[in-house]
Amino acid sequence: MGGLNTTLNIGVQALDAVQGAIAATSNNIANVNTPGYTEEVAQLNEDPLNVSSGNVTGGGVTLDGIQSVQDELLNLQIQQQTSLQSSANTQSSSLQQIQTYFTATGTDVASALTAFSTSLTALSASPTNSATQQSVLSTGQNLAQAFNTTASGLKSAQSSSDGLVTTSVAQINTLTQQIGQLNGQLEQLTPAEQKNSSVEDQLNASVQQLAGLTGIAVTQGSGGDNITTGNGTPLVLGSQSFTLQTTTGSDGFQQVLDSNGSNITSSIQGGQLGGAIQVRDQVLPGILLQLNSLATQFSTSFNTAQTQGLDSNGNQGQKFFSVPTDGNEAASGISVSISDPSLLAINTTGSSNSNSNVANLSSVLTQPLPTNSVSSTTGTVSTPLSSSTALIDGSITSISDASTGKTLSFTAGPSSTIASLQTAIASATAAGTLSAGTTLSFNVAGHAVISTTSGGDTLQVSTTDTALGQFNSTSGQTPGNAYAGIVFDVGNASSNASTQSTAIGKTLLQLTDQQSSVSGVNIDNETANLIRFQTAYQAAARIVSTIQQLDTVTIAMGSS
Amino acid sequence: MQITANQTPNIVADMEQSQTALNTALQQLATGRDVNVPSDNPTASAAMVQNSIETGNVDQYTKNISTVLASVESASSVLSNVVTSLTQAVSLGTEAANGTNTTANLQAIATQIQGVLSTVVSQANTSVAGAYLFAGSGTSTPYTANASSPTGYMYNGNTDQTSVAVGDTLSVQVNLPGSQIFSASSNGVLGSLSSLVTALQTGNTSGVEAATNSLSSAIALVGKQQAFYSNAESQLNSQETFLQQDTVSLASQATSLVGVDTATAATNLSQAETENSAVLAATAKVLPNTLLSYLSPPS
Repeated sequence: MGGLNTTLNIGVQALDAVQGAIAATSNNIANVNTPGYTEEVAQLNEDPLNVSSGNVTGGGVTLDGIQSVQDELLNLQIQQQTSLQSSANTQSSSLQQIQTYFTATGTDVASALTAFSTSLTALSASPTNSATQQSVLSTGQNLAQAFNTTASGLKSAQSSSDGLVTTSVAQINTLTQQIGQLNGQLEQLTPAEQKNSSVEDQLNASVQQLAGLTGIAVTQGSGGDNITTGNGTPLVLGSQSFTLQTTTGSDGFQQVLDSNGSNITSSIQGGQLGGAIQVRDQVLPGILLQLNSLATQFSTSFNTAQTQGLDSNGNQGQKFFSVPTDGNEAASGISVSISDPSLLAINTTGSSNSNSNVANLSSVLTQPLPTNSVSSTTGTVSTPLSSSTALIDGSITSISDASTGKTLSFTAGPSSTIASLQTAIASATAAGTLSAGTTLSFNVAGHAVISTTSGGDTLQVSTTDTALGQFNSTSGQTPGNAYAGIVFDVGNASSNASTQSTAIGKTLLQLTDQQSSVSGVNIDNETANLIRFQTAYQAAARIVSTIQQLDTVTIAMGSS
Repeated sequence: MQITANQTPNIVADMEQSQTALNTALQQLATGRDVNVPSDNPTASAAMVQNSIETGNVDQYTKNISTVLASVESASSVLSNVVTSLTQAVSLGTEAANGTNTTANLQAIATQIQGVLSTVVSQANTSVAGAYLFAGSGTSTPYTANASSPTGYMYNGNTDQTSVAVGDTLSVQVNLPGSQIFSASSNGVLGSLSSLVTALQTGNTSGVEAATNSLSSAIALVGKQQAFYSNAESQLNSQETFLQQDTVSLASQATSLVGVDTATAATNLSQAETENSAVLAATAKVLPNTLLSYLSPPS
């Protein structure tokens, strides 16, 4: 029968339930600033009705549990956008850093080109003035240095991105291990416990952090979150985590390997890791390639003009710029190879006062850059060479006899003559002379086309380093235009990355807003709830005390 | 669903944005440029590379013009002096050829012509800033006395012509070799003067007449060469005018590419300042406001 005791039970149950609700509210308030915390809501349920003597009374309230409020779809979207933004941010900060090398500071390539061009123009009017000649040399050195500085700036940005790859992989491994452990803990819990568990919140926070490091795909299973990279390499499966590794690749940069040792570097996208790889392997090499092309082609073109003329001493002009054989090092290794202003090939007539070659030197800056031709690397001696034939530009660094396969390396310079070649060949092959029809292979430093004629004997080597074929991205443009193109690419890449970062940032802010309105703690709501539950608790307590009074009255009825 | 509980991320984003706008406006006003790094405007930055190279060249072309203009102008005036001297020699020659002169008179005229010859030679040897005007690209004195030469003088220069760059595709020839002006043939300026002196000294009247005639044609030739220098001079002057215009248009191109209008920059700055203080004021109002502020403290 429904009696005072039933009502007392209802009161006590209400006290319990409201206590639970107050506990949830206090926990919400306590965690208002905890990252990853989701709002907890007390699940209150009406109890079954009491039916007694045809009278129906309510059964009171029970606390079914306390549940966290989650929106999985929103979480996934936030993870994706975080990956994208983190990738864009990484690229943007790296590009911002290299941009300074392309800003007009007076020491950049554009300023150096301007100064070099100006000094050559001045040489046209005052070819014999030693100060003017020296200024061509100094501005040439500055230009080479500007190339060096820019290239080393790009390379250091590349290696700092490379460092970021290593640290990102280490962070990813720490996080996947953590997530594996959390998944393990989650498996131990009952479904009801899972719904309101700090483990779930920690798990979400860790996955969110992981998304910032690399693009991931998350599927939720009974044993927590299963995580793979964007292209399907498993990172976490239940409580098991898979470690990524890094190893030094052939280009000297860190390659990312999955747990089986397969190289997955190129397929990684998104996140700090994806951004760093993108900058290191795509953006910066593209810019370096153009810069190296410009350095090789500009120096080839200028050296050709210089070797056409005669210097102030009446000798054939020597190469002005020297560029490393490896085209990849062209911009970082370009230097001025002459140190005496009198070696500038100013004229073509032998008169030191003549400026007849200056126009050829100047025109290098206004003419389209040449193409690095890629052709056979063999040459033929058509007739026996005179022993006094000079290898004017000193391009040949080694020579080999096709019949014996023997190769000689030597230092050839403007002073090297065919005689020294013959001596060298003789000691190696015992052939004695280079006779007509001998097929020779030349290993040519740089890319100059050599054609040496002396007394009707011709040594023609129409050859270039085949590896230079890729350094042709600036062919056909003037040096200024080619460099302007590089500046545009750098600026464009940088502005794209930061625009992307800003745009994704806005989306992310919106999503976070939404997430916060679903799962976040609103202090006003919680305060109101606190008041509500306080009142409810006071009322429930009043029920208990009222029943107590009624009981006392009832007991007193019996004793009087 | 509830109203966004935590406004901090939004507010922080707003504050960052307005701070960035403020910094940008400040930087633009301070530098006078709205393109400070290539990413600010990749196209304009690329165009500026070309602009700065061209500006540098145009400056240098202008300097080249002032360097060579001096030598072209003095060559021109030297030649006009030469013409004056030669005209004087022709009238002396004509006077000597009229058959009324005594030997002593002829000797006196010969001395005068000899004087003209030395003057012309010294003018042919004029140098400006250490460079001989009429030696081609040679570096030694163009004319020295030489008894074995039919003209009496030997040309030590060469026939090099010097062209100086004064524009991207324009170079102006600024010299003529002395051999072309003074000793083009044995009947050239120096040859005719020498023959005139010899004829006067030997009293050879028909020789005087012939030499005077060839001197007259030599004057016409020098006149032509002088015209060459006047041409070069006017070419250089008009190119200088063009380069001045070019400098102005390059500068205005640079301004339109990367420069910022001061009035606009100032307006941007004050706008950014207002926005920034508005955001900060709003933040100060919104952040501390919760229901708790309005509940009476528990008694």
